[in-house]
Formats: sequence, C-alpha cells, structure tokens
Amino acid sequence: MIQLRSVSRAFNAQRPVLRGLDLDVAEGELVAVVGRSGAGKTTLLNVIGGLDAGYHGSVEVAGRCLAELDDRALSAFRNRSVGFVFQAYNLLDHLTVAENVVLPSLFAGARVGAGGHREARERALAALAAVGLADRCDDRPAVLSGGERQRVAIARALLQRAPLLLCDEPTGNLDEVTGADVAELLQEVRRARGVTVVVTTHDRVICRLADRVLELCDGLLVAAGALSGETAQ
Amino acid sequence: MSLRPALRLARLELRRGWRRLAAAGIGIVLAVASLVFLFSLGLGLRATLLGEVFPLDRLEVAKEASSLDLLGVRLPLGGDTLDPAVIEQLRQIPGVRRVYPKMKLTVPAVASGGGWLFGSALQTELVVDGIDPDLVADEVGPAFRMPTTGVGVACHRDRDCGDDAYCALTGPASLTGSCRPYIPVLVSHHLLELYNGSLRRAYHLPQLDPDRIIGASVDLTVGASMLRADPRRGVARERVRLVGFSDRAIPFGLTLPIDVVRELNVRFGSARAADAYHSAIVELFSSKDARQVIAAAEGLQLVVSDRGARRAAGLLALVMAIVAAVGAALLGVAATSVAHAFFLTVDGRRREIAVLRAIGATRGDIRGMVVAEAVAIGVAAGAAGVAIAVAGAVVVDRLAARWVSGLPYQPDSLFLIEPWLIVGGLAIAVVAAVLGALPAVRRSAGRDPASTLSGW
Repeated sequence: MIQLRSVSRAFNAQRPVLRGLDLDVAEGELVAVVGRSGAGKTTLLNVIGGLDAGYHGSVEVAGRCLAELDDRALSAFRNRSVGFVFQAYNLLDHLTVAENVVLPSLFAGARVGAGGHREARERALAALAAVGLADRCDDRPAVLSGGERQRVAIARALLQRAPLLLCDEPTGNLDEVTGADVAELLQEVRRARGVTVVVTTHDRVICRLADRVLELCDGLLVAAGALSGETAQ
Repeated sequence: MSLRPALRLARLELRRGWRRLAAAGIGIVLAVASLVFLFSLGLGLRATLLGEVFPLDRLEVAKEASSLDLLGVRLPLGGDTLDPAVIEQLRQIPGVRRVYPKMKLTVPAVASGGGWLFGSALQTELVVDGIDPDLVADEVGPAFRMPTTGVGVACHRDRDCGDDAYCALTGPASLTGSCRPYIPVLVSHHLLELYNGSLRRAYHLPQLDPDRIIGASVDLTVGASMLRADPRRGVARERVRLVGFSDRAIPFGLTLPIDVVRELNVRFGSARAADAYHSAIVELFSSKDARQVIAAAEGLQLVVSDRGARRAAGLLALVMAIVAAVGAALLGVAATSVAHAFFLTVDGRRREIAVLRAIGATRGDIRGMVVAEAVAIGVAAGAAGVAIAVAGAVVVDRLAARWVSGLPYQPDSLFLIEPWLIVGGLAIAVVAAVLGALPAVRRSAGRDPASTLSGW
C-alpha cells in the first residue's frame, strides 16, 4: 500500500526532518509511528498523504507515484485514496456534523445534482452511524465532546471509502478512556473495512493494537517490534 | 475548478459570515447606487434636452444666406428661401424619414382681442409661421387642419356658423355677413411658460391654464403693423383659434397651417411666394443618423439650426464622463474595501482552507469558492445599490413635483432608468467585488496546506 524510498524532507538546510527514510506498509496493516515532538511524524504523514510535495526520494501510495501527480490529480488522490484524522479534529465549526462528514464528497466530482447530494448525505449518515454518532448529525461540532469530534473526523475520513487512513495523534487531545475508545474505533474500522492505517501517536493503547510500531528518530524510522514493547510498557 | 463545490462552499460560508461580508459590500452598494442614480439622472436630462428641448431626431435646416456686414448692418446677398427642388434633395438623403417645409408669413400681422381672458382687449405685433399639419398630427390630431364645413353660409352671428366657423359681418354697421372658418393656430409650450413665468407678472395679467384656453380665439389683421405698415397693400382680417400647444410651433409667435400662410404670402406678395420655403424640418429615422444627415445638408449649402442640441449633447456627454469617472473612483475605493475584507476573511480561514485541501479540494476549488463568495456579494450589493438608486429617483421626482413646479420642459420624471443601466449596475458591482477579491483568491489558493495544518 505504501512504499517510501530514500525520502528526505528539510525545512532548512541545517535541520533535515526526514533523512533518506524507507518504509513499506502492507494493505490492511495498522502501523503506529512514535517519536518525540518535532521528530517529523506529522511531516511523514503529510508526505504519505500527498499534502507535502517538497520531499526528495520516491513515495508510492496505493499504486501511485505521488511525484508524478499535478495539483488536480494529487487532490483527487487525497479525496479518494486517503482519509486524514487530525489531532485537533479540524472540523468546520459553522457546519453541522453531517455537513462536515459530507464535505469530501463535494470534491469527488463524479456526481452532481440533488440525487448525488442525497446519496452523499446517506453515506455520511452511515459513516456517522459507524462511529456511533447517528443521532448527532444536525449538531454543531462546538457542542460535541473531544471524543465525539474525533469520531466525526474519523467518519469524515471514512466517507469516500479511502483505502488508507492517516491519523496524526488522534488521541492527543483526549483523556485516557476516550482515547482508548477512539483507538478501539480505529481498530474496528480497520477490521471491518480492511483499510490501511498509519497513526502517529504517543498513545500506548494504539501501540498495543498496532501490527507494527516504528520510531522516528533523527529522520529515520527505526526499531520495529522491540520498541513497540518498550512503548507499551 | 468545479462549479458545484465552489457554489456549495460559498453558500455555506455566506450562511456563516453574511454580516461580515455584507459590511464588505457596503462600499459597492454606495458606489453602484451613486452611479446608477447619477447616470439615470443624466440619461433623463439628456432625453428631455434632446427629445423635447433640442430634438435631434428632427433637424431644422435653412438656406445658408451669404451677407455683407456693413457698419453693424448685415446686408443679405442672394435669396434665403428653399425651393421645392431643395426640399426634394433633402428627402433623398439617407436616414431621412420625412421633410416638412416651413414658411414664414412675409407681411406683418397684429393680433387683437382676448378681453374676456385678460380683462381688456390686448393688441400685439406677431410673428407667424406656417407648418405642415402632418408634422403635429400626433400631438393635436386633425384640429390643426382648416375646417371646411359651414363656410360661406349667410349669417347674423357666430352661432349661425357652427363650431368651426364664425360670422364675418360685411361691414362695421352691417347686421349680416358670411361664415368664415377659424384658422387653427398652435402656440409653443415655451411661449406659454414665458408668459406664465415672466410676462404676466410684468403686465399684471392672469396666469393661463393651458387646458382652459384651448378654443380661445383672437382677431388677426394681416398686413397691419404697430411698427411699420405698408398702406398700399391693404389688410386681411382673419380670426384664429388656439387648438393646442406644441414644441414644434414657433417659440415666439403663432403657428398656422402652411397652406394658410402660403395663401397670405401669395396674396400680399407674388405667385412665386407659393414655393418659397424659409426652412424645413427634416425628420430622421434615428437620432444616430443626425451626423450624416447634417453633413449631407451642409453639402447642399444649408445650415442646421441645432447648435443648442449639439452643445447640450456635448455638455451632457462631458457630465456623463465626469459621473463615470467619479463612479469608477468610488468603485475603486469599494473594491479596495472588499479586498481588505476578503484578505482578513481568507486569512482567518487559512486552517479551514487547508482542511478542505486535505480532503480533496484543488486550488481551483478554493479559488472558485472565494470568487463565488465575491460574486454573491457583488450581486447582492449591486441589487441593493440599484434599488437605492431607483428609490432615490422616485423620492427626488416626488420632491421635484412638489417643490419645483412650473419650470419649462419639466418632464414627468427627471430620471431615465434603462434596463441596461440596471444590468450594468449589477455587472460592475460583481466585477468590483471579484476584482477586490482577486488578491485574496491568489493568497488562499497559494497557501501550503501542510504548513498550515502543522502550525508552522
């Protein structure tokens, strides 16, 4: 699903964030990436998700070489192949929960008209039902708890049935119990839909659920299973 | 750029921030309102000036008479009349619909009477013009044609002759006579305005109601003069009756059917006077043809007495250009305020825009969203501006009707709000809003979503 070769990313010459990094993630795998703050975890997700194109090396995701895609194709790739879940949820406060979830369908381009809109809303309600929030579809994000907002973000990420879910510290703003619920939800989604999940996290629950735990250290991914054990402890 | 997400996102954004965006559009509202108001006023004045005061779709042409200036006295060299051949040449000019010859009465005339109206009979020297009744048929109908019924019948009093004739007694002491037709006469609105505005005050005379003096008659003595009469010619006594007012009538004097004037000119002059026209009204298919028709008439050694029209049109064009320049400046200021508002709006939404990019929005979608918001603001601001302008025009018209009445050529409305002006007001509002939003459009689409979402 994901193949990174010699990927480097630097925002200034003195301090490269990623340094010739290699990564392979199989389809349906749940990979947790840990590392201290500023290690480049978010940058790694941005590169994989086609949000950051300023890297060197080769990035292939879902059979597509991202360097070869122009803005339109890269946007379509993000829309159809990737679901993003952010630490800060990044929901649009002026929209209802359902409108937030349905947003990606706006950019899918295929369907137009009232029929397409209705169909997208039905999918949004189904996605909300999948994360246990069917009854909150007409609420604004501001009235939801942190855990509920993150569930809405996950529902939004699932709407387009993307095969890859990129989660940037999804439990970072949540308490331990709620974080565990969200981690369980991610695991459930992976099992039910067979999506590949890459999560950057400090959360031990997520690390325990992950197939592999990688640590981003000095711009490189190191220590897989062994480090997972350390983190879990 | 896909239209659907742009429109839907813009709709959602307008739902959230319509107050802020409405505030951004206030400048455009005021600019469009000022522009439409002033332009419609300019068009209204232009229509009045060129349609009624100096109609450019009707030109009056006369012979370019050469003369010799001698110690302040201008001595004519050659004739100053148009013969039927010249009239025919005028008819052949492209763009000319019809030609109406005009003839002046070439002998003096004195009008007397009106005692029932003014309190005592008045007597005044008059200038008399003759025009083709067809020229004013749309204004006064058949009333300006010489009546034929009841003429020549023996009578004792006016009552014996019906409505269109009067009893002309054979002598001052005679009790019998024969019926003669009233000669229909037209007076210009301008003369009535002048009388009601100035003359009546100077001579302490009553104000005249144009509707109530239609049908009034006075005696006309042709060949007589209070200044310089020629006793050898004799006089002709007629009675004229006012049948209407027209801007096509001579400004100061009486206007009679041309056949009556022709007959009098022949009677007091010679047979050649029958075809001696002093000018002609050239009716055009369109005022746009005026330039070429004027050039052709000048080629026939004719002069076009439309200097007022041309001067007025030039002045109005200048005023309209100034209005347009002021409007453009106002719109520039409005666009700047829109730019400022959009910059702030887009800046405040940079995270939101980054999220949209992350979930699949292209740069074009983001650009389209901001442009759609600008278009919506432009349409709303333009509609509001046009509505304010129309309301302002209605108010000004009502105030003018109430406080400024009795002016010459006062039209029903000072404004002419053409459909293209409304569409144009909307269009320039949209253009100003979109131009104002362009820097924000560039900025919003150009931002790197990764850096925004990472909080760099």
